[in-house]
Amino acid sequence: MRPLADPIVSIRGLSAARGGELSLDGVDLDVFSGEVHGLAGPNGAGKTTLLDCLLGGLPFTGTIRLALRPGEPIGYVPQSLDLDPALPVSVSDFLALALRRAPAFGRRPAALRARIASALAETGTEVLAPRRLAELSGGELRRVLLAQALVPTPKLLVLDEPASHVDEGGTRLLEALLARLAREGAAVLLVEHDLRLLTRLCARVTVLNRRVVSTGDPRLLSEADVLAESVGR
Amino acid sequence: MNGVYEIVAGWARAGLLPAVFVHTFMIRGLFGALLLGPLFGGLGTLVVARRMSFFVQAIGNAAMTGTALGLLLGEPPGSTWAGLYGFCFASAILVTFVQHRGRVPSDTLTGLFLAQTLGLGVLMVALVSKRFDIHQIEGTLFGSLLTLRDQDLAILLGTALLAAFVGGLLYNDLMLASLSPKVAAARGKRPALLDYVFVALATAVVVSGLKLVGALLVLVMIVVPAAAAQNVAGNLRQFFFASVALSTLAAVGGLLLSGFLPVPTGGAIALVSTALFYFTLAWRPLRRRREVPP
Repeated sequence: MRPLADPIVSIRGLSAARGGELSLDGVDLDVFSGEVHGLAGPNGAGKTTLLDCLLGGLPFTGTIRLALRPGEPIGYVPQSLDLDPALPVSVSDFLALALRRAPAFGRRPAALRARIASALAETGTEVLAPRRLAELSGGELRRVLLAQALVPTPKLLVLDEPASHVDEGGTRLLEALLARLAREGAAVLLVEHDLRLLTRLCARVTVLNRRVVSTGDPRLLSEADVLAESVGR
Repeated sequence: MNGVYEIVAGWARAGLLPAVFVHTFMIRGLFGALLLGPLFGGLGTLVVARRMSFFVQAIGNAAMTGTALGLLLGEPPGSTWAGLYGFCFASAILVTFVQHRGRVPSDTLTGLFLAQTLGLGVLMVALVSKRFDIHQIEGTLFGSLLTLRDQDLAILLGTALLAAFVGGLLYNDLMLASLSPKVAAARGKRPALLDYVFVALATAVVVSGLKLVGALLVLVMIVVPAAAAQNVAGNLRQFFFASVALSTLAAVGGLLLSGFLPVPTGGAIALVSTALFYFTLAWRPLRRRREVPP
């Protein structure tokens, strides 16, 4: 059931092109406080384009309204990082880069170290703190990226396929975290291919294929239709 | 500055410093190396992380055109700063603008820019050489201790202070945006603006060091110490300080080498720098072997 609140994300008539081709065509989407909203669709459906527009990285027509204070960060979990395998940036360095203004190569105050440790503990990755980012497995990296997005506690959390390459334990942790954040009032926009995960977690799922194909309770959507749209069959 | 040079020369005469430092041009070179080492070492960590080594070389090439342009515009030989900074800044900003707007991959575009500025540079050098001493261009290409003046040291010091200020404010943002522009954007940073700030900063630093290192070898001194630091560092702090230390060591070591042997400073610095890289490459497996219990 849709929460009775103003949306944190309100998108109207969003159109955007990528590589000269129209990737999104008049998309409307609302994500409310306290809601985990799924975004599904086949490859090339425009999901990543929509996230790029939301994060301000791509020009678009239409409107995107975010009910955030000026400068308030969006918690964002990307699919991966653009990592040079030789780059000696550790997991705790990565969080320090994200959290602090003073150069991360300098001495870190105890409060920052505690904040980093607490964020990593949330995703069960505190033991990874001294490891180089490039040495992490795909699943470990996803958990670290999630930890990064959780500080400061986001009012809006956007996740781009956070469950891929993640083991069963990691997926359960992810589900518990997202459910807790939604209970605490965060708006969560989850781009995901795993329909079972979407069904377990989401109040509503929007199926996208350049345009919005359908939006609703994932359990009420025809699974065959969703599948067809999600995998492009 | 003469008083300072006298003091340092006195230390050299007393045997506290190598004897070559009785010469004022060597003392100027030492001050230059001590400023340039940390500056290039610190910048190198960002250049390597942002994969912009090729771009640094392109700026070096643009410097040749900038010098020739300065001479054509009537700047005094040896102080073609307006031509240098003007052309290098304009080129760097233009390439970044096209990168952001166009569909050409950034390395292809940088290569195009490199070829274009090299071609233009050769043309302009031909024009300039009919009117001026071609050794000015050689100095820009290969670096020369003899042409280093107090004014150049002042520019180097000013650039170092500017880089420390901008780096202190934006180092984290620049590094984070190199790992994920989207995460940086989500955290309220502006990756596109950061790109412009970084190319402007890198251009200012590269141009400030040309007199000592030379346009053709500036890449070596920025990228090689950072690459060597990657071999021995396990985290960002070690990476940054190892890069600064290795770059400073290469600059001072190369300066000393060029003081004892009749070789250009830039070439000597490049040789010391690459020697340090091979040393760290060899040291890494040794360190790992020690870390693994038998």
